[in-house]
Amino acid sequence: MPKNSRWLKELKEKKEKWEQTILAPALQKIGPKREQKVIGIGHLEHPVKEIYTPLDLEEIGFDYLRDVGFPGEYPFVRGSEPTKDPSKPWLIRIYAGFGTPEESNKRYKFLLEQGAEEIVVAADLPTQIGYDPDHPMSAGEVGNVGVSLASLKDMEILFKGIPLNSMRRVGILGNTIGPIALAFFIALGEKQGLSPNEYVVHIQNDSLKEYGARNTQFIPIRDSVRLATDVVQYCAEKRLDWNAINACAAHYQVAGCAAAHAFAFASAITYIDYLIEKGLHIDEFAHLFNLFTGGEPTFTGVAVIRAARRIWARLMKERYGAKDPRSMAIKLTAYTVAESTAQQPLNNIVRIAFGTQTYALAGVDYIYNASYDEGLAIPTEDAAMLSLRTQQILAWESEIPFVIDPFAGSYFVESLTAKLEKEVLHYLSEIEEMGGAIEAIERGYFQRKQVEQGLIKTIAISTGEKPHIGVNKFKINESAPIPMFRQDVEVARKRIEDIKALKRERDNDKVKQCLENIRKVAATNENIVPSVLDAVRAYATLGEICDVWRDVFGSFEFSKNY
Amino acid sequence: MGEKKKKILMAKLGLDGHDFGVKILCQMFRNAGFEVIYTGQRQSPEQVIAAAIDEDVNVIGISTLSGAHMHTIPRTVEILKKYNLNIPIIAGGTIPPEDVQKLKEIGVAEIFPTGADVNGAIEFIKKLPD
Amino acid sequence: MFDCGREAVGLVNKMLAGDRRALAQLLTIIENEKPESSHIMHMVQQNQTNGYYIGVTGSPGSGKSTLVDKIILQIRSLGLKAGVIAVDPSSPFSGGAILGDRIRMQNHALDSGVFIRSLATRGSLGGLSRAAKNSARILNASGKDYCIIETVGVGQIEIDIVDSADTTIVVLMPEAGDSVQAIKAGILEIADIIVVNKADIKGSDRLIADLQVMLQENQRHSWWQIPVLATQATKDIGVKELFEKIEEHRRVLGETGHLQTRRQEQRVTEFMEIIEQKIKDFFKECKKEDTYLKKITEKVKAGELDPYSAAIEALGSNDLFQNLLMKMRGEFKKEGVKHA
Repeated sequence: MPKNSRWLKELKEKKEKWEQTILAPALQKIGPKREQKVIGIGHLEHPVKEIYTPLDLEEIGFDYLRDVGFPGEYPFVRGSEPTKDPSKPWLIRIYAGFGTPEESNKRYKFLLEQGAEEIVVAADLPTQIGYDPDHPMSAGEVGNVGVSLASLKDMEILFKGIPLNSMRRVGILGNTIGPIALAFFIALGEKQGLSPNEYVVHIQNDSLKEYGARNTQFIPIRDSVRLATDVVQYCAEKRLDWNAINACAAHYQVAGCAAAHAFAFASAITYIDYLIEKGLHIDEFAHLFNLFTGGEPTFTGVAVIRAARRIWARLMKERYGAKDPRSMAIKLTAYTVAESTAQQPLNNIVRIAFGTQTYALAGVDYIYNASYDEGLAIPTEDAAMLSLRTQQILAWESEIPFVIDPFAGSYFVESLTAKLEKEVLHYLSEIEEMGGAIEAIERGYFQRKQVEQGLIKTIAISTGEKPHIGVNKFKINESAPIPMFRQDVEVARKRIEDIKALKRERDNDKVKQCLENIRKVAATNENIVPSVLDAVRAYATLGEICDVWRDVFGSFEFSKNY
Repeated sequence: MGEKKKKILMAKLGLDGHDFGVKILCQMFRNAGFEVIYTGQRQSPEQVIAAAIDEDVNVIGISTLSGAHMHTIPRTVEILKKYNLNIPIIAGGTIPPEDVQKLKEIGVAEIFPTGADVNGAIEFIKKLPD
Repeated sequence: MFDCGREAVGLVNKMLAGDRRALAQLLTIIENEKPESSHIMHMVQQNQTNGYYIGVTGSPGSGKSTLVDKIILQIRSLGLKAGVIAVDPSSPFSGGAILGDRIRMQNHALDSGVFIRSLATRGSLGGLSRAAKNSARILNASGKDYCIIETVGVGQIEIDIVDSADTTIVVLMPEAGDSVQAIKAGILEIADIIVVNKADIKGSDRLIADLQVMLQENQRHSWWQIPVLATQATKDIGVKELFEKIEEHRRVLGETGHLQTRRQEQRVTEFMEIIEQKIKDFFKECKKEDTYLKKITEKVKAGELDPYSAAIEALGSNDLFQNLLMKMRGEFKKEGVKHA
């Protein structure tokens, strides 16, 4: 771009002339004083100008080499890889699971046949919270929002006939239960005759965001961070190039995308500092991180992702002195839910398609998208298939995979990228001022931002100021009922029987020993994973292991939560 | 003479953890002139009802997003009936249309599934007897 | 006494016999200031036990509710019963309120030895409403050994708390400005014990030191040295020591006779307050219908009379005063309580 100041001066004059002679009359015709156009809502509104020109790039001091660079090279704004194979533009993932391991196994096979490249295991709430299906707290929840998993035996059934290395990757949410999730896969791999280097695992393992948004925690926050970083340390030391931890922005997206990404970065910083404290060097583990970006429409989505890549790269290089490009080139994961509605659910097909497109345009590495009925119940087979097709059509029928970072240089998107970067860094500095992510969460800062911003949005939808088709605009009285997936009511009963059978068949003395060992290790600074792995191999249940943690660390008191 | 305010107890039953929705509702109810108590997460029906009695509320609002509503809400209704407690229940969240009917049949006063207009709930509460 | 009074008496008797629902319903009647409130409070006053009143006030976010939750544990560990009145501010715009204290104490929901009630300020300008003070008395009458009143403490510290509490605790937390605030807000006049909560936060040592200096220079009593205690309520650190201090204060109050004096003064304050409030309430009602007042108001509005002359004229007039007096006497006689 010509930095010739005379050229810019001329451009400025011509633009002003256009505004006066052509734009102004057109605005007059539209009607009396039109309000400033904005995208976004609340404190995170971005005024949108009538037009963006090279002047805007000048305004942000845009320097291609410094700010954008080349893909696969610092600051990695255009992507972590120098090029992409258009036939493999991103990894097509699907989040699935419900009921018993047997039922989910059938669904997984179906999804793999339909082209899913990665299965992300959705576990039910009892599993996520460390309760076995026979625990009183599990009543009514077994197998509802995901598959009921309690032991290695369940994992074996879940992946029966599905070798872990037959998929490009396999994943699980595994947040507060991170070490157990890791152990499940390693032990399963062993049962399948595989060494961990033969397959790739993704574990979300972002326990901080449980405390900040999702609330599946059950032990105190610092102990949970220790467990999460134990998982990363284990993978780093065993040279497992798995995705051992995610800094998640998605779950905070109610707070607005800038705040949400700031929370993700603050969490990452906390995890990294813990790992450095444990004696690891940044380049040993930073590549095991993923950034789980959030669902924002079109331009904001692309811009915040480009900004996030730049922020991560700078953070790794300047704060932590990373040398390995793998540490600085963050990989991105995304989940499209796209403000799905319960009203007129078929509309969600369109929303999710557009959302997925945004991520494709932004060059996200791993994408999974919701099914249109996900807000109502577990997806039907057809709905799940449709969400795979959505990705496949984008991946193989569209032009998108053929261009890397098509928005680079766009007057508008580069301006928005710079703006969002500033906002993210502003929130990040506020959090650092408080002492970091843990302190911010304990003071309710993350939580408050979600409620504040969410309130503005809810009111805007309630008054109709923010259109939401089917909810406050173009409502219809009766929706044609969509086919809904119905759970087998006997799930809980069966699972309780499964646990009883397991406890009969296994070597209970061995299990007792292993649990005792976990107890010892938990009370020290040692990495918890090996002891958990032994217990998992011996068929200890998830609930039994978590009970030991609850005992040693104390249970998380919800009344103390923000 | 004192003013009479509608007092609402908001609760999350079961293990579901997303609570910013409930908190937003609390604010909107406050803005509508109600007095709102949120009892927090992972509550049992017994805990919620005990609080509702002590606070002598006009209505109990249950938020449920994990699909456990056909288990937790009937239990709540059962306990209220057992102790002859005349406190109406309203529920909101991920409740599919067929379950709305079933819940109303067992005695839930009104359901406001995700996406329902908050003003509907506000009007409903305003009309409750003091 | 009239019919609804009889019902109220029945409810009070039920409450005294241990009926929890009756207690909750009585509190609602008091909160809504229904006419039978006088009957109720009369009986409640007759049935005061030697339960102890603890006031907890302090800046918002200082962790008062979490602290109270832990104090309840201390009380229960002695096998004694606890009652809590937790007050939160009503929105001046909508009149609604979020009563956010109970959530911190919800683990006591199923304990029959604990009763927690949340109240909104409902337009009472700062300070504790009569309803809150009355509610505390009712909890006492219901047999609670300790009655804790937790107040709003918005910006300034609730000074009124001393009218209801035997031991008043002011809770602060280390954050910019708190120690300066403390001096401004009259903490010295009301605190019997000062607590610096969230003591793990940077600045707590400084705050404690500043407070100790301030207290040394401003000794309120010769018989009680106001202590500054550090706590971390979420971790239950320092609460045992706090409770021991409360007990110590209680002992000293008893030994020096100050408990009795305080309670005497509190009763007198209560008496005067009730009269003042009733007159105010009554005048509010009168404003709406009194024809004489309306006529004079029109003159003030039109500018024929200035507000001061008009007020003096109105107050001096036989019309207004007589009418008011007669009406009041009539109403209160109806509401009045037969003294045995």
